[in-house]
Amino acid sequence: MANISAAQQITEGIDLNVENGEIIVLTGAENAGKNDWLKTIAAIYYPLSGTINYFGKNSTDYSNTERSQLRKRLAYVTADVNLLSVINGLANVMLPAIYHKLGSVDEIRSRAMDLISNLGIDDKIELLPADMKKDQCFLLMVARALMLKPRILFLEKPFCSMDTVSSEHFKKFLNHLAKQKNTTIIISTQDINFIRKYADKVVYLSLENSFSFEHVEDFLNSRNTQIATFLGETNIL
Amino acid sequence: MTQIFRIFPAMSGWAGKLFLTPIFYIVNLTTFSLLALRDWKRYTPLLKKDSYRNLVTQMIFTGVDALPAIALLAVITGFIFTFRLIAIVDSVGGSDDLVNILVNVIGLEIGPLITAFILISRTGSAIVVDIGNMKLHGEIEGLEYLSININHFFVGPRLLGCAISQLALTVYYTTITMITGVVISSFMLSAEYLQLLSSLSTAISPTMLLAFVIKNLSFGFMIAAAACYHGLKVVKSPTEVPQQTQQAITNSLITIFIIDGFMGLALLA
Repeated sequence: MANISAAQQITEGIDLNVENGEIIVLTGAENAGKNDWLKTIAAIYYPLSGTINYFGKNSTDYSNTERSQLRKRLAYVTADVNLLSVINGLANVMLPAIYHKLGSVDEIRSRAMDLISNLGIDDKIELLPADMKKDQCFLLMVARALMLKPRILFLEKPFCSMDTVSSEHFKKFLNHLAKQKNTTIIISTQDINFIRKYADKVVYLSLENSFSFEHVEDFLNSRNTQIATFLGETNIL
Repeated sequence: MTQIFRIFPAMSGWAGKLFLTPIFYIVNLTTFSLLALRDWKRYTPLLKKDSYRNLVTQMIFTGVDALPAIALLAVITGFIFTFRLIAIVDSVGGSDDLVNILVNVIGLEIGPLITAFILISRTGSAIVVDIGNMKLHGEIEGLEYLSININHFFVGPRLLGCAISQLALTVYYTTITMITGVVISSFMLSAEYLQLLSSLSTAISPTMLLAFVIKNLSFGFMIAAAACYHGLKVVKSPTEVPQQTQQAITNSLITIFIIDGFMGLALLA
C-alpha cells in the first residue's frame, strides 16, 4: 500500500512498509519531530530526501491536482485545525462528502449519523463547534475525515485532550476501523498503553535517530538505552 | 553635496516603491481573482442547481439583506442629490438635458458609487473578518486536508455573488433615488417634473446600459476580490484581522475609483 523511505532534517531516515488495516505508531521523546514526520508521511510536507510511495507512485511525482485528490485517500486529523465554526457538528461531518458528491444528501446524512454514533458523540451533533469540548470537536473531525472513506487515516496526538473513558472508547473504535474496515491508521502518540494493546508496528523517533520496529514486541523488549528510558518514563506517567 | 548623493538613492527608492506597490497589488489581485474563477469554473458544472449553494448564500447576504439599508439611503440621497440637481437646473431656467444629466450623474456615477460604499463597508469587511478568522483558527487548513479547494469553496462564489448583488442593488438604489427626487421636485417645484419618470426610462442608451452593467459587475467583483485576498493573507496573529480589514477597505475604495475613472474615459472616447 505504502512504502516509506524518507528523511527529515532532525532525525535519520525511516524505512517502513505499510499494509492495509495496520495500526502504526510514531512515538518518541517530546520535540522529536513526530508531527513533522507524520505530515511528511501524509504527503502534506515534502521529504527532504528519500521517497514515499503511495499506491505504487512516488509522492513527489503527484501533480498538484493529483496531490489534492490524494488527500481524499490520506485523511489527516490534527487538533491544530478546527471544524467550520458557522455550521453545526452534523453539517461539519457531512460537508466533505457533500462537496465531493459521494452520494445523495440522505445517504450522506445516514453515514454521518452512523459514524457519529460509533464515536459516541450523537448528542452533540446539533451544537456549533464553539459549544463543544475539544475532544468532541476532535472526534467530529475524525468522523468528517472518515466520510471520504480514506485508505489511510493519520492522527496527530489523538488522545491528548480526552478523558480515560472517551480515550478507551476511541481506541476501540480505531482498532475496529483497522481490523474490520481495513483502514490503515498511522498515529503519533506517546500513549504506551495504546501501543501495547493495539499497535502493529512502531517507529521510535528521537532528536538524533529513529528506529522502525516491524513488531510491537520488538519495540517493547528493545535493549536500546533511549527506548528503555522512554518506556520507563512513560510507564511511570 | 555628499548628503545629496546619500539622500538621492533613498528618495528614488522610496518613490519607486510608492509607484510599484499599487501596480504589484493590482497584478496580485487580478491573478488571485482569475485563479479563483478558474478553480470555481473547473469544479462547478454550469447549470447544476446544487453547485450554486454558496453563491446563493453570498447573494442573499450581500444583496437581499442589504435592501433595507440601501432603500433608506436611496430615499435620503434622492432628496440630497436628485432633488437638489433638479432644483439647481430649475433655478437657472431649466434645461432640455435634465434627463440626460440625471441618467449620467445619478445612474452612472452616484448610484454605483454609493452602492459600492455600502458593499465595501458591509460585505467587504465581513468577508475579510470571516475568512481571516477561519484562517486564524485553522478552519481553512482543515478543509484543505479534506481535498476541498478553497478558491472553489470560498472565493469564487463570493466574487460572483458580490458582482451580481452590486448590479442588482444599484438598479434598486437608482430607481428609488430617482423616484424620490422626482416626486419631491413635483411637490416642491412643479408638478410637471413628474413627467421626468417616463422620460428617464427611455433616455438610457444601449451604450449607457452596457457601461452601467460592466461598471457595477467590476465594482462588486473587485470589492469581493480585495476582501478575500486580504482575508487569506491573515497568518497567525489576531491583530492581523483588523489590519487586513482596514487595508481591504482602503484598497477597495481606491480600486473602485480607478475603475470609475477608466470607465469615464472609455465613455468619453
